[in-house]
Amino acid sequence: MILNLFKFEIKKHFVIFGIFTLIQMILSTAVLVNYDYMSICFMISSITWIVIPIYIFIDLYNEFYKGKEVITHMIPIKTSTKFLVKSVTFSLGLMIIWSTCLIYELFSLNGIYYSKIIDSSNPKVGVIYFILARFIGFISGPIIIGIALALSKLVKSKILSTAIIVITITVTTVGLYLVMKSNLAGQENIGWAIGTTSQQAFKQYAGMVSMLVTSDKDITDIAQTIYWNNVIFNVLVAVLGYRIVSLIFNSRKYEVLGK
Amino acid sequence: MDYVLQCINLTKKYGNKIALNNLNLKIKKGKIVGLLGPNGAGKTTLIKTAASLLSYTGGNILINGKTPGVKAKKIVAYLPDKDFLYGWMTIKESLKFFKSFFEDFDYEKALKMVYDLGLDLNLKINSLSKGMQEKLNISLIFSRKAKLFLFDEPLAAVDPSMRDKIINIILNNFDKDSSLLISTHLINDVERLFDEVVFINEGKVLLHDNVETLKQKHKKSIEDLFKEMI
Repeated sequence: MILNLFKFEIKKHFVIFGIFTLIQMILSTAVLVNYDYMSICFMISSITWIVIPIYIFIDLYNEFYKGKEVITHMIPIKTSTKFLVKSVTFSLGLMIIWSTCLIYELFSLNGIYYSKIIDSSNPKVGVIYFILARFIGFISGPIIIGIALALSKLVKSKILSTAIIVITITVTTVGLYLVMKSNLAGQENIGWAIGTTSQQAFKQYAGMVSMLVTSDKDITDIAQTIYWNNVIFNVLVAVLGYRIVSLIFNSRKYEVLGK
Repeated sequence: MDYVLQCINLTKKYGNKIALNNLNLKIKKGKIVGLLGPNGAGKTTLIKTAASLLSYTGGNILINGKTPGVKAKKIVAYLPDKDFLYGWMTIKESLKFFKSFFEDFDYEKALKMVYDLGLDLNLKINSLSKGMQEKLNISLIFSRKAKLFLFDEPLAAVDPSMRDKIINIILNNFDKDSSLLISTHLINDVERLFDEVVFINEGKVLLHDNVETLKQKHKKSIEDLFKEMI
């Protein structure tokens, strides 16, 4: 039954993720052919990484806060399991969209492979980190939204609920951002960007929100851009977050259709 | 087990508003029960609580001996008062959806009902008229071998001729091994369905009795009795 739910969720979100994957794929191919297209690719990519998290938030909000889709709540599966299936579906969708950047990152002479991997002191670990950091961010992202929605369900006031959602997402994301920022202490011009896959932006993620810590230090060895605490904190957010979500969503007090 | 649904001092509050007020109700197996009450009486709250979609503030509710949750959902078939199927699905896909998620769903029975009702399997749900959609909803719900069927205002949005057809579908497909609780305003139109009626107001059961007994005792139709009491 869980597998059926997973298939159903994939079918439901296939079009939106398919469209953005296609757009990103076309842009990445264009960058591969001509690196001058990079700026437009960054711009569209930023829009994608703003739109997709909003889309995910709206879907999870409608499902687990408002209870709009009564039919899925009639299915005899635990609410926390339904949330997990949705989160995994979104994580995979996000991963697929992101993976399109590998078209130029791996094959363009200006891409990450030729600039940071080919002469790296430890290319394997560097590549594993490069992908794992992103993937774990995609898992913790929907869970951060889940924690916010679950906590907001504990109060009846709409204003208070909204405040809890905003505060939970902001605090968790900023917390993860600060962890990443601490890794680059001592460097100049540390900032953040949304959605960029620029090589100058080392791949550090605050959940799905795709907030990247940037630094002007031009490191040419991918192995030197590894910060495992980024992965560990995202894992902690995912594991502890899902535990909180499960406790609330499976409790007797949680009601999806409550006024 | 004699009772498919048992509510013991069931209470539900929305903030300061009491929707169900120490409500007591027992429904036996094999009965079609009309849940009658004015707007805001607590009908939908009671049905949603029995469908494990709403929590309750006090008391208890048992569905075939089970408290609301995943196990109870397996034996409850709930028909909401609004559209609940995805508009982008075809009728065939909605049948497959039910087959995928409800172990007690009889796909062949659903297919036969859909054919008998003249519904085209390839039609999209958002292209169906209100009456067709209601027929499909009832076909899907009644193709489950559930212990408790909960229908929330199933006939409110369909015209009188369609109402009769839908009532016949219910009567022809109701399994005496289960129970059916129907909330409705259209008492006269659907009275012939009921074995028993429950009058509910302000979250409390005012009356629960056999339809024939009530008619003989009060020498009135159920609707007249309802108007008198509520």
